[in-house]
Amino acid sequence: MAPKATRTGIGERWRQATAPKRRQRLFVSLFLLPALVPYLALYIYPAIHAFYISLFDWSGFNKDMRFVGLANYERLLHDAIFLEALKHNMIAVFGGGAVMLSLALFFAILITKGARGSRFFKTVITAPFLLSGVAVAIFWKFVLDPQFGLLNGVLTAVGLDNLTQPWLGDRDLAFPAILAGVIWWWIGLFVLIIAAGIQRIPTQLWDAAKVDGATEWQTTVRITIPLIWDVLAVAAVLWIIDALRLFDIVWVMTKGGPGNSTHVLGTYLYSVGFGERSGLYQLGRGTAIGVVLFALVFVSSVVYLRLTRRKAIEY
Amino acid sequence: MSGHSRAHSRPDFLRHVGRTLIGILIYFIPIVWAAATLFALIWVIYTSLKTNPEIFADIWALPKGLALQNYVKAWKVSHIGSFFFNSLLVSVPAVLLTAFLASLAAYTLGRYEARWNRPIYYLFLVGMMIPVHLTLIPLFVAANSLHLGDNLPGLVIIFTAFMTPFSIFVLTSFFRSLPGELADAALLDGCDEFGLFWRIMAPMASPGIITVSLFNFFWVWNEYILTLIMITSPEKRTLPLGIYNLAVASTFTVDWGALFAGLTLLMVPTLIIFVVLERRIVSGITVGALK
Repeated sequence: MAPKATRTGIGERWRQATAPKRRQRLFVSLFLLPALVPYLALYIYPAIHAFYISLFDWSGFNKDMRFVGLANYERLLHDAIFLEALKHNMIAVFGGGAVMLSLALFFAILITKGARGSRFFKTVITAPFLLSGVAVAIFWKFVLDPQFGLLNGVLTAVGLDNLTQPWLGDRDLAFPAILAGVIWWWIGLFVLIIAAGIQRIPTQLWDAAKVDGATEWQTTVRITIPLIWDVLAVAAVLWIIDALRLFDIVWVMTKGGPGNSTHVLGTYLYSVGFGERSGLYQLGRGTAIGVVLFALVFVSSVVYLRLTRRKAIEY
Repeated sequence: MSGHSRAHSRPDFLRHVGRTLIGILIYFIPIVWAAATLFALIWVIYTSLKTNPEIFADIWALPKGLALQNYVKAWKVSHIGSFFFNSLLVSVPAVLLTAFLASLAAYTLGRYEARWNRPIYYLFLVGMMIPVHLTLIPLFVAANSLHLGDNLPGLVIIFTAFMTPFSIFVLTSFFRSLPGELADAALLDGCDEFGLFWRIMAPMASPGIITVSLFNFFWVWNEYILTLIMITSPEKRTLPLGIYNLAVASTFTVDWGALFAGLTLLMVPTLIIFVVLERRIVSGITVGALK
């Protein structure tokens, strides 16, 4: 087989020297197997098996799998808690996304302007991103605690006593309160991505605008944002995928409570599948939730790949 | 600042004051944000040095002394020590194994022309689009029949499988971008295929392999959901799982000092790596996300 031209075009001679030799090719295909085998057995096979399991009513260990067709999915349509969990993921995707992206854009613009302390600021706000969701959740629980929580303490200290809340105890406030923790946790990632996008813009563009007498606000709205539109789109899809996959922080903070008011698809899957709610394993029904989650993440990921593989805007 | 050499007429001055006010407002949010974040990290660490009565008296106050006995107690009584070693015993082998297997595969996919390379590359890529949740229940079922459930070597293999797609995705393009001259020379000298990989190409790719391994380590060190499914014996818990149980499962008898000592041990390794290798990690994040 003739070697095709590659993107880099480097090492062509070497590739030509090796490619036709059958013994080497056999040898080299052995290089793929050690990575391929565990990946197929423990990632791809379970993912495919999930579609099969989701068609059964199955309580686990005993061999009483009962085929029920699409009944698990049909039940989800009438499952108020499932629908609310889905709604919470959507609140995270759209509401959380709007807050996350505008805050991250704001911080990224400040950083790239090179204000004093920018480097330090960037380091500090990125640090939580590297922390375990368990650690973030436990910390955030202390912040929101109704008795000794930091948030209520600060509100009282500045004379806003009437704004204090039992944050995680309130059905309407609990999920937004968790979401605020997620934004604190992940904002560094989005600031870094957007800042990298801004740094790709040639500085002459701003210089030219400044000579023409444009204000900071005008250059931001007319130059910066339009030129990083592609980067913002990438960041948005990345957030969508993360917001759909939420689990750790919600599970550790509330386990989906109080009164199922903070479930997301991930936590509901776990509590249905592993019997946190009824004491009975419902593996088929839980897996059906996983399939729904997969569909949402898969579509978002395809969009992500499309966006990142497109060529960046030429200046 | 635009208060150049122009004469300071009155409207100019007012505009200047207005802009300064807006400037203060603009910087207010990031300053508060950064201060709160810094405080959060420091708070966990200094609370781990307080005695239980001190923590109960005021959870936000500074420690009066250094209650290092928290660490001794956490390490021995609350089993944080064994959780910590379990985490190390899982994370380090899993990251090393992934680095080796993924490099070998990525090298092959990036440097060789074979009919099956492209489909296999996409097969690996698909993994990045599958949320771990989909696999939880099937994996739980399969792992028990494969004897991978509730043991640490089993976790190492499972985590390796889950880190493979991302690692291969990044490393394939890395291997592809390496120059081929050295390889040509090595082949002329009679180097075999594995020697070519092990002695020539992998060392050249080591910056990429290190960056990927750092991100893999962050993931595996903090991993919670798969561990929650797979590990049932208390003595086999990793740090995130052990700390979760310490904090949530036993609300009435929580040893707060020990909990915060455990939290510190969970947070500090990744934070130290981040501070030391910030530049590499930051460029890894941006390159990984945008290319």
